[in-house]
Amino acid sequence: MTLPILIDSLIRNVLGGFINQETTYDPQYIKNMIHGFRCMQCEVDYRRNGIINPAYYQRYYLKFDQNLQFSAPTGAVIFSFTPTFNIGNQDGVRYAGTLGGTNSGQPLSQRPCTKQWIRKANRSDLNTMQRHPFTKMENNPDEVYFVLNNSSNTLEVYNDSQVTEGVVEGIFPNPTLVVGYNEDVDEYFLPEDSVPELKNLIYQERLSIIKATKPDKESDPPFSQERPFKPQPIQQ
Amino acid sequence: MKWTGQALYQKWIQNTGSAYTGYVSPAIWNNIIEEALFQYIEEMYKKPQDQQERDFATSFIATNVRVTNIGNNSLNIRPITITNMVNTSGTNWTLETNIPFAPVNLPAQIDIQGASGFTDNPNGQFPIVSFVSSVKGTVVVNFTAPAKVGGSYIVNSGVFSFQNIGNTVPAQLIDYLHVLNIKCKFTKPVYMPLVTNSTSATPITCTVNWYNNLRSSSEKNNVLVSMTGWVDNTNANGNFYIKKINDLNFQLYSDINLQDPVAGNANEYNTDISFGMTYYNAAKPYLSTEKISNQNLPTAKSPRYENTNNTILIYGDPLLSLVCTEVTIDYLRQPQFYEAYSYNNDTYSGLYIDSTDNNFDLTTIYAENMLFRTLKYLTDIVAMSIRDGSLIQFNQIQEGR
Repeated sequence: MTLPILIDSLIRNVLGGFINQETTYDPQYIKNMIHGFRCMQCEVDYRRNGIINPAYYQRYYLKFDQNLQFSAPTGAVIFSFTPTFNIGNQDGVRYAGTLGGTNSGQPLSQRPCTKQWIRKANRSDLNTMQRHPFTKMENNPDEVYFVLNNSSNTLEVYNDSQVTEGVVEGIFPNPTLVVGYNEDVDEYFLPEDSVPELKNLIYQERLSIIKATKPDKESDPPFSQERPFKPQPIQQ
Repeated sequence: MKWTGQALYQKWIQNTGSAYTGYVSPAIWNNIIEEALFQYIEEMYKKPQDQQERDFATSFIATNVRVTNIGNNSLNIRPITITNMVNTSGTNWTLETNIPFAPVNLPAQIDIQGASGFTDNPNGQFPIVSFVSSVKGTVVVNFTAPAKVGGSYIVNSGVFSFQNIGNTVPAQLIDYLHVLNIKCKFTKPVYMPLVTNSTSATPITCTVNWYNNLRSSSEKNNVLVSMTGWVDNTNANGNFYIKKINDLNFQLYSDINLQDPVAGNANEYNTDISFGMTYYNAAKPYLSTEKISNQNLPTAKSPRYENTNNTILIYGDPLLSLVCTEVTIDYLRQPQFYEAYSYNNDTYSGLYIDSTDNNFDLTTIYAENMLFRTLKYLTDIVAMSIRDGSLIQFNQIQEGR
């Protein structure tokens, strides 16, 4: 199911797409609700089953941008990135590393192997690592490290100053922000059985708005009835 | 039976009783039936999903009208009143109006009707030279027409509208009443990835420099890829459907079923290609209150429209200043402009149902049931105006309302 079809199935009215009818919901608002629900559903599934459905994962391709490097910390190459979704105590990244030439058009045997980068939780971890002679980066030239910086939507790569591209496989709270995602064509993964629940969620909110509105319980007087503000004759 | 204006008038007299002829002379009846026609259309517009109503009102519905001369993303509606017209020199004329409108894309022609005072009478279609916006809300149109012979223009006489050259498709919807649907074509530029290479093969294979969300064309993905800037491989310039063969390569086709490949005429490496995606989607209304939120910003894929300043203004992406190149519109017509809109360089005919006319068969334009229904509305209007409550009730009972 694509995202537009999902939205359509949630808020479709009897008239279909007739534009002169005021729509009850703004599609952008519905999109945000769907993204939020998808995150919640992913976490619920993870807590229940202990695994994450691979369909939740997306590939985010990293491309070197010279303009970004002015704000890079010492020894790091930074890439533009979109935050991942934290699930449990994980940061939602399954793989971060080199591309491996899977799309280069080369024969399979000639394609380079992928090389995974090592995740560091933060720069403090990196500092701790640098203090020890065995673990410091200079003594491990083959290892590449990365740190997610969600506050500035960047990913910092350490120990490889020549890196120009990479890929991250992860769970993103808003899949449409991933460059390779085409929301009109690509599948928007949400378990089919959870759609009615999402619909209930949206309608519940709608109903709560209706409930909050004061009901008009008083019936209008019929025309034959005397108007209530008719002046009464003055009592002598 | 041949339902002429006169026959219709007689039928109405017969239905309501001859006593009312004293109140409603044929001339007044002509005015009232125009009002009744509008009432009928407005009622019909409230329930457009009703097939019965649509069948009745077929004459008033215009669908799939394509407009290409769109200037400033605005579609002019209804003829515009002329306030002044001056023969500046030779065949050069200047026309002024105080009513706002949007300049259309040139080349285009202006259609002037009803302007009076000059002996040479510059009414008809003339090529537009330029649009000049002047101060104080007056907009000036320069055009060429036969040189002035004599007389002087009678102020505020005549109206004008725009047409494409040859008057084959409209550049202005002179008979517009209500919008039903608008589709707008916008091309959104893509800066990442860059297209860098194209081949001379059949089909042309293009290479991009990075991963992307391009997808093979299909019925669900009818987005066109737009490219300009190829110097040698000129066949790759234009709008195409694509077949994606891997993450970094796609092929060009001229049909959505990907059966008609586009042949290349040279191998070319070029980093200066203007690359974009062309969307042709239906627009939603853009209410003023919606402009408060940035979440409602129109996009090329999800355009918006609003009625403003005597035009229909179309929004593609206000932040990117995208230009609408084509519109396909469904709308309801005003009944009195029916004849004028037949692209035969006809004049504005005014009211079409004439109580004194005994020649023209109205059923060649209007559905017969629609004519009878309009008479009911007419009766209501007349009964209301003379405060005849019993006639209103009788009319409603007769109609089953």
